[in-house]
Amino acid sequence: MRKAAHPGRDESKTMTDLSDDGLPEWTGEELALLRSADDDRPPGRSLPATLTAAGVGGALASGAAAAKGASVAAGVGSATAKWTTFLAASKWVGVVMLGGTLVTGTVVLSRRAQQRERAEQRESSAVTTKAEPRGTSHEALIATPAPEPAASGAVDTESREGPPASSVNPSNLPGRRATPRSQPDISLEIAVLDDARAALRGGRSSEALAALDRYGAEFGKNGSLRVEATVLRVDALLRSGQRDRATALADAFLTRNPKSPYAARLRALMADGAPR
Amino acid sequence: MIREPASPHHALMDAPELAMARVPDAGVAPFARERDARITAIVRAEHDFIWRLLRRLGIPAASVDDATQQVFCVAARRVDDIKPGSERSFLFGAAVRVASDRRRSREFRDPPVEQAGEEMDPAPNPEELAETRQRRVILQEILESMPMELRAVIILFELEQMTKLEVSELLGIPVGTAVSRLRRAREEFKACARRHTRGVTKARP
Repeated sequence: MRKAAHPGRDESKTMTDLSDDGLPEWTGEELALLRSADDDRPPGRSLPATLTAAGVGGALASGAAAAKGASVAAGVGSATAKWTTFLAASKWVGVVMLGGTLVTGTVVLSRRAQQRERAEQRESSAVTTKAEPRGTSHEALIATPAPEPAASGAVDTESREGPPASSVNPSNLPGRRATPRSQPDISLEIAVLDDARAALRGGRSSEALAALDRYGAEFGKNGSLRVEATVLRVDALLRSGQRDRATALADAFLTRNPKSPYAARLRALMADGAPR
Repeated sequence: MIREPASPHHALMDAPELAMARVPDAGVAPFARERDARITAIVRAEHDFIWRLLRRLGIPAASVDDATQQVFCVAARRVDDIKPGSERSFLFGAAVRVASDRRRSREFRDPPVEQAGEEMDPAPNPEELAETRQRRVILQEILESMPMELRAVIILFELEQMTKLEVSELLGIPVGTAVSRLRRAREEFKACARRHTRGVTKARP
């Protein structure tokens, strides 16, 4: 039934009738519209940048690590099968439409058939046995977004402690732990670096440097995110016109960590002075 | 380049940074590593999904990387609250919220009429590409004209190829509701597409 429902499928036989669910069928042009999104995919820089923003950029051990995304994901406890299925499903459209131009997608492609089949089986059994699925209800969230202050734009998005965090109400999450404060140190680290990053984005480099000073004072060499802090400091120094200091710091870092995943970023920073 | 007075602390504080650079992995508690590993796994597994989701929720190409980072920053901060297996659900909620916030902000009031194709990779057939780009702009306009609850199922089911069960779980609704919503979503999409095609035919000779 779903074969008839999806743009990536063999639609030649799907144009005429309603599917089993009574879903209206797509026309060729509608399918083309839907398919047009297939190759709108993140640029290569996005994942490393996101890892860094999430405070785990240092985990990008090497380029090879990136190719192991799926297997890394496989370590996420009970979610394993589901996640790889999701990943495969997510990649599927692009992979089919691009005929293998998507490099990471090709890894996933080999698993696609069996995973989708598994997913379909899960679905068909659940449809008959499961009336109310578990999980977070995002219904209210989707239908009526809470009246929160509008974001002030891209400038300080990462610094906003409030809206997204508070909007996904943790009390709605199943099995929520009562004390999420088991890792105060890294949470604080993230918060301080978020401040620095937000200040940088807002063009307030001395504020960023002050936040980084705070980071150094509070976490020093025990900070888990100290490499990120170093990179941010180089950036902040550049933007505040202290190129000599930035150069010294960057050179020292690069000498000691020439293969760091941050090396390229630092070199790029140094190459164009104070970007943006 | 912005020139600002140097903070008096800088001279003092460069040194600890250098020291940190020398020992990049020392002193990290094992549980912090575990936590980082989980965050890393979450980002790797869901990054592309969230990026695409944000795009389809109307985040312009120019700021989608930033919005993606925002979503995962939230996840990183709240990772202890995220039950294993509910990661995507959490991220989905956060992404919807981020998109919603941004929609109310200036970036949405100045609608994201993108230069079609600016973010696409080069491909063999330029004509085909141009057509696809044009269609994508239309797709985006259609999606943005739909109510969020219908847009979500179109995105998840039609574009992300999730199963009905997966969609229902992610949205926290019964499967039957998901299916009926999908039906309405398709009808709405078709109606929007028809309206749009007529409008475009007039507006774009």
